[in-house]
Amino acid sequence: MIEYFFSLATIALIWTIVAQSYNLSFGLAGLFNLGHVIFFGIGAYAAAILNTRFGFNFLENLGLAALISGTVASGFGILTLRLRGHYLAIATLGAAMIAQVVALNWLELTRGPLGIRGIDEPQIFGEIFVGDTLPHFLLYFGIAATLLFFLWKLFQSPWGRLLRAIRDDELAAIAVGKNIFAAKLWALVLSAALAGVAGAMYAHYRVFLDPSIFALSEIILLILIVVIGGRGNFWGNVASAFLIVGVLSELPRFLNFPETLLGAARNIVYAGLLIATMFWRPRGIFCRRKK
Amino acid sequence: MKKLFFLATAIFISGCTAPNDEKIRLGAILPLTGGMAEMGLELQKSLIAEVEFLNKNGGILERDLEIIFEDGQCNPGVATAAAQKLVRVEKVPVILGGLCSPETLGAAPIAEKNRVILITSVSGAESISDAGDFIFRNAPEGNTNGQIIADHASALGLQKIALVNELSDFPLSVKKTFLENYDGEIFEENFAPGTMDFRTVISKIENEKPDALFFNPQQNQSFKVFLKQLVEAQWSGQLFFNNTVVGNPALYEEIEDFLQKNDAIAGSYDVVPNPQQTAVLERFETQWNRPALFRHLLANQHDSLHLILAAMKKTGDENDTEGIRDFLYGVENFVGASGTFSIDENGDAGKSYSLVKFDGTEFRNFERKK
Amino acid sequence: MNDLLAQLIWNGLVAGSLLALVSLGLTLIYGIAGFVQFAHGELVALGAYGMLIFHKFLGWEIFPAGVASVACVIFFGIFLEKILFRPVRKKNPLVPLVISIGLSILLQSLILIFFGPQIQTISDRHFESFSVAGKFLATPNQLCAVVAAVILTAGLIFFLKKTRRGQSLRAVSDNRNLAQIFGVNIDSAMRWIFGVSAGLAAVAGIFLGFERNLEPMMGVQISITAFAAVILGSLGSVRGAIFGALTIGFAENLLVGFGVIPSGFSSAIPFLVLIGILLVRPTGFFGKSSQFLRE
Repeated sequence: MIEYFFSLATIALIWTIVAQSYNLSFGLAGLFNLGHVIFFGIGAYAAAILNTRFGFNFLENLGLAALISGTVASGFGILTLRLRGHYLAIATLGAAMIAQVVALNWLELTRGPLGIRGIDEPQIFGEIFVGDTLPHFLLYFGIAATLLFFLWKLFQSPWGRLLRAIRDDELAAIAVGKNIFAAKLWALVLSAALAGVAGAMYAHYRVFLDPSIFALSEIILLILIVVIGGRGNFWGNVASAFLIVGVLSELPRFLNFPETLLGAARNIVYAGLLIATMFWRPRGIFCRRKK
Repeated sequence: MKKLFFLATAIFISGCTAPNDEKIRLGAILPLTGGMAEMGLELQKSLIAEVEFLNKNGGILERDLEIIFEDGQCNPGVATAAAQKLVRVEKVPVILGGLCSPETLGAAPIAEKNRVILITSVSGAESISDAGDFIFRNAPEGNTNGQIIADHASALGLQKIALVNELSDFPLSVKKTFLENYDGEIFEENFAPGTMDFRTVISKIENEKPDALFFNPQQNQSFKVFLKQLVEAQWSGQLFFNNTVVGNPALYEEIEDFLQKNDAIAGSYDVVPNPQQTAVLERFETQWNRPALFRHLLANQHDSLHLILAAMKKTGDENDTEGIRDFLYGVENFVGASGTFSIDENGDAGKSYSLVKFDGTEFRNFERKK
Repeated sequence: MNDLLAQLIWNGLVAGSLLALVSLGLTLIYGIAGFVQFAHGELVALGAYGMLIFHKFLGWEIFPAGVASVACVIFFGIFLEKILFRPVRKKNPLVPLVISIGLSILLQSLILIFFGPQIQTISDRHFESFSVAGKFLATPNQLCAVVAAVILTAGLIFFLKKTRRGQSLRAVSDNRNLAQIFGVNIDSAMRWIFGVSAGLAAVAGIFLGFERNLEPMMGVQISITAFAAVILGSLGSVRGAIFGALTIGFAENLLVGFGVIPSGFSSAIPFLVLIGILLVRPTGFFGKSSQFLRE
């Protein structure tokens, strides 16, 4: 039983990192990028391919996934950061669609719908952390805590304040002589690298990967976490990732719904949460409404 | 906010029932929602009917049987979570399923690691053969489906075939052997799962003027609209299908429209009608008051369940998964609803496909011209 | 006998016309209310399912069933505006956008619960397709769809340009505050725009239902493609939406039809075209979004 909770918590930890990385580009820098899941997926595929074909281990893959996702993001950013608002949102949503189609079609690289099987389980330094759910959870907890600590520092840093300033008033930031393009690009690259690390963690934890990682449902899950947690709200996002991925997504399995209603019931809860949050707590459910 | 958390946790924990010692509990992972739900729900209904029947007749090891169903959505991530719950919370010794190969492959590592038997009755992916020691497959591999169609098409002397594949695991393994075995010219098109418009692809095919068309999909939704648009495009050639069409009456009325002009031939599970199979279908009909769809899958799944039950009777302890595993590897000439079969060293039942032809009401076996 | 090019152009025209009906609604809502309505595709699906109820289940003739279905969806669209979007009108545009994402998931789930996951067909009979000038095949449904799209688009442009109501809507889109000062009732402008776009979506849904069958997720595919179309032609621009929809309809058919792009990639084509155009023109083909309905 307790192992089951650890397995859920491990997935929730991974999504916490993804949500926080999205929080960096969307919440802090205000880039409404609907394709963030691309970087998660690229990280996962990078780790899966590097591990199964070239034998890179878990720890190396974390770094390589970050590097590859970050590199892709810099190209992606140079192309898309000229766009604003809804144009950016739809173009990036489109990029996610393209990524999924490419993963599906490029059989030589991704094995397409057959998926990549036999990815090594996460382990570092030889035999430590080999084994079952608890060791994996501890390992992932350590990695997540480290990453989140640095991210939190970043949120508090002058650079974080600059991003917030750009989000709230771009013209003012330009007026005081800030290079906002560079700041946005860095925010995107960093957040993509972080999502890439989470992707690598996901691939090694699941040990099987297929193109469903780029699906629309994952994008919606991510938006859900960040909206419920509150844009730019650091701890709110940690809580909402655990609430949504750890509790709500698995809860219907324990309630005796008729099977035909299972998926629909879960989605109705998600939809209700999204709408209610926007109505009563638009800055996240953990944040009181501004009077 | 804290209240909400407590509430959620409370519901979460109260929902978990303590394992009941009275019943023997098995798990099942099937797509109960999403694009493959029609098939998954049908298999679920059949399992429910089987369990009802078994329990009325004394159960197994003098105890009642219970199957815990989990939704796998044809998605490896969801299937992994489902397997985690079955293994860790419900502590089942055996999981029946999944249906789609991604489900089976997603759940397999969890089952293997925790020494839980996973036996699929449908998944056709090649890589399931070496997915692990505890992973079994009571279904033919997808690739032989491509081979029999290719052989038949070559024997008929068809020069050029248009091949339309869905980008899913099963159609791709069918495609692979079809390409290897067919000697004529192939005009190939692919489509992503969920595609609902085939006008362009059909126009392209008609322009190529092939002798026959081999439609190789996975999901019903694409299948139906493809056939509809094919009729409207006035297609008049020979048609081949993979086995997803068999036992799927929702598609039959569409196929009828082609029959005046040409044959519709599919590769299907090689299931010869037998008394056991009739009994399975009758039980389904009594329970649900309608005839079963996907009959050949039901037969396979019935046999998977009974293989497991036979193993449990042999070991006398439903939790002795190593004993069950060893029994399964030793299975020879098991007589079931899907015919007589044995299990090989990869855990595969080594089943095959046969050609069936649509006669206006159903796909039936037919004599092949050599 | 049939000519591939002619057939592909016809296919593209049909796809583009249906897409245009959906895109016009999206662009109108953006122009007046200032956000992208993610649940627009679900209104398309509701139009199709409405037809299923009235025509197949209740056995009405096609025409009255279609009118009933469109009317229901129009009222539903107005109702949604009133309960969901009116209260948040003065908020950041992100708020109604996220609400519409939630709404989209909600409506999909409700359709799933009421109609089940399986494919539905409005009519059991197939259309008898006929050959046009010996060049290509068309079905009556396709022909009606194209004609309906042309008439509705022309009607919409006439409405926006020549009628008083339409002019007031354009005024709201140009400058909401100024329009309000000059006595335009914003509430009724919103009602009109949500009603009109829901109606267009429902019409598209009915034709799509006949053309491609019904399933609970049918709205997602068409609306995502329509997003690409409206962005491509610039958000808020009516001629942009028409241009975008036709471009995508033709691009999908011609690029795949002549093998430029393998058919497995076809769902990515709208976005490949979109990104290509945005690289050259970051605010879409027709420039600034504030040029709503100028010409």
